[in-house]
Amino acid sequence: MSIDKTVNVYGALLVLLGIIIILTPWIIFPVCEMEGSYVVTAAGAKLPMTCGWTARAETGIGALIVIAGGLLIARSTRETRQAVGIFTIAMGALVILFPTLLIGMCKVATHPCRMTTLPALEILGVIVIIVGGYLVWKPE
Amino acid sequence: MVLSFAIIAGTLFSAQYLAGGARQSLENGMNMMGADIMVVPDKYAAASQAVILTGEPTTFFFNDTGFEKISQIPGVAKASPEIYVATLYGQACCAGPVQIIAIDPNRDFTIATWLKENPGVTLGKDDIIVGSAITGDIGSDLLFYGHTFHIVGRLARTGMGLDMAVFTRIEDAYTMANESGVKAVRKLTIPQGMVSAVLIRTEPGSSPAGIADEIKQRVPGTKTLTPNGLLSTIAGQLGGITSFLYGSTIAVTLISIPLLGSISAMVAHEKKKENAILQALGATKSFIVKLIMVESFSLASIGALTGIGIAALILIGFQDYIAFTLKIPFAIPSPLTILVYAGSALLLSVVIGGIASLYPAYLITRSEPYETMRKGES
Amino acid sequence: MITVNGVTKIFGAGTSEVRAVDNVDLEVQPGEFIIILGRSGSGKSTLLGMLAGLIRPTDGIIRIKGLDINTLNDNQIAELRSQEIGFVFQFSGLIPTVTSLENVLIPTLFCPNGPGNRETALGLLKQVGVADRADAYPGTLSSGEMKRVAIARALINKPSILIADEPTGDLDIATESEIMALFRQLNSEGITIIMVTHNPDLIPCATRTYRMTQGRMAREPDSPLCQTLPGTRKEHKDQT
Repeated sequence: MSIDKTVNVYGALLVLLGIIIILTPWIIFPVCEMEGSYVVTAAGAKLPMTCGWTARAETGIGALIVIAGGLLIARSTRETRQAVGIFTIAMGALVILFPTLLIGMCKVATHPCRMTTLPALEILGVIVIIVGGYLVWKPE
Repeated sequence: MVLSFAIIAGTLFSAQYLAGGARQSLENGMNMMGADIMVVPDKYAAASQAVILTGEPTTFFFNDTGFEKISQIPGVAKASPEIYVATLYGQACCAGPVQIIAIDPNRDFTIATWLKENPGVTLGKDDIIVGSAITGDIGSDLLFYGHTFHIVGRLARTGMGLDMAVFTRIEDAYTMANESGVKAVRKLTIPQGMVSAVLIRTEPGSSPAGIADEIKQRVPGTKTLTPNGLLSTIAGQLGGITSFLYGSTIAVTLISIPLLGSISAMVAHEKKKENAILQALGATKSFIVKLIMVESFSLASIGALTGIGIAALILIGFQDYIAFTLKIPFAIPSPLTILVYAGSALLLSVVIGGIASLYPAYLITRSEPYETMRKGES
Repeated sequence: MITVNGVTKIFGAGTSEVRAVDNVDLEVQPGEFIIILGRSGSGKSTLLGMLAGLIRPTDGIIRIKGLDINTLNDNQIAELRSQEIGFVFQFSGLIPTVTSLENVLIPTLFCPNGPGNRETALGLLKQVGVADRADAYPGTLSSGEMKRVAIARALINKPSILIADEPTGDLDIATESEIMALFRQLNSEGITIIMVTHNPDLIPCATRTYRMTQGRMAREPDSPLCQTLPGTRKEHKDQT
């Protein structure tokens, strides 16, 4: 097995992107519940708002992206690279789809989740898709 | 080098984009409002500007509108009274208090052209038309001061504060105020016969400035706002930000030119041997000079496009946050305008790239290739 | 083919003046294989540079195919060089960011109406024995392979003269022999070769050998070895 240094760089990049995606809705551009906003039920229970559920989903996807990056570093053959690339594109699409179509964010335009978390995740999703595309179509 | 060009182009593009977006938003809003003059109480002029531009809700009234006097001034084609009321606290629809603007549907000439969802709808009893940033589907209800209103229409986005406004009939506003003592947490009082503002459309050919002066004379204690006046206000607010951005662009450019010149000279020095080889293989000095310039232009273009791309991604993605933080109205400029901004940023980078490559090109014309190669060997 | 009359090259001035080449005469006929020996600093590379039109002489006349290079401007000399002279550098001088094939094709940029094209380039790479390395980058080539590619590059425009400045200076003995055999083969095909080296053990069968010392050039006697090596001009002369 030959070690392709360029592919290792992209593996490390994926790990970094995955970590950033995990941290974005909780720390970097936190969603509403991090600012103390919850949905309060009639019984008095506090539930996360829509953006909170998106944040949890993004945490999962971010973890998967980290694993994909680790896999690429551990075994950088052509087949692994292309397989990781295909799944990375799909995961990047999910990073964008969770806050937009699949789960959503708060509807109010001035909520921080809409103004900061959403665009940040969209941009990160696009970057992940581009990295995935490169891995699939990287010239030998 | 690519990074320097990316920063220059990105900074210039950002400055133009923000300034252009604010201007665009104001033009959209002013066009949609359809009013040539807005008459407000003198001491509430700033508050009324805030309602329009940044959506800060407020409640105020004229002592004496002189509405009848205003309507009779020559040159006034239409006059529409409005009452401004700030709601109590955040509803499910909104993060904070919103601005209720009560209108007389028979005299209003602004909203009809502005409707995005359910165009042609008219306001009936307890009906409201909401701004684009208010959450709530058509047919759903919103509660203000304990009074239930039904959403029947939504206005198109302007990027201005009016996106957070809710329009209802004046008589419904009075009903809401009368019931608020019982139904709401705090009583709302709307004095009878008083309004907060009068929107005026002037007759074609007449001078809005002349009519504005006439109004100030006939109805003391009033201030007239015009679209140009609002634009000046925004320009003033934006002035600080755009000065900073344009100033940064100039500073970055001035620092970059000698920096790029040095880097370019270093790169040319590294490539001296390569250029000498090319000359030994038959390249003329002018070929080498062209090579240097093309390389510089290519790097400048790549850097500029990268910088513009990243800037555009961040600016468009975070535009709501930027507008909210800077407290400026904002609407995305037209695609053509954005292309012009990008083009000018690209042009600046390419020109700087050309200037930076002049020194290495000059060095090449003065060098003896074989000496360079021999020195390179030892 | 090349005529050198009283050529001198002076670098610097006053007390720091250096006569790199001092009143040298040389006449090179078509098809000859000239070797110029000399230690480092003897002026042989400077002379070579002047023969290729890369350095202008301080004094004297150099004619290449009848043209006095003193009467030509830089662009005209460059054009002459691209059409008539192939140059092999001591350090091979390949451009590292393009492949071997692309390196060979570089001179065709400066001679667009010349005989060089992709097919010719591939043929030359085959002739020099590195056809399988056409798509390789110089960083992945051995010293010998780089030198072969450099020779192919020097020949792409079918020059009548090949000038080589210490072409085997950085090669091991086995590779040196292979490269020298290649030069001998090219000479037997009619290409005039002028080669500079500091190592007398590497003298192939040259038509004539010279030695430069402190800028002055003197004729060396022919080596007896030259008489017997295969593919040499002497042997060819004996056979005809």
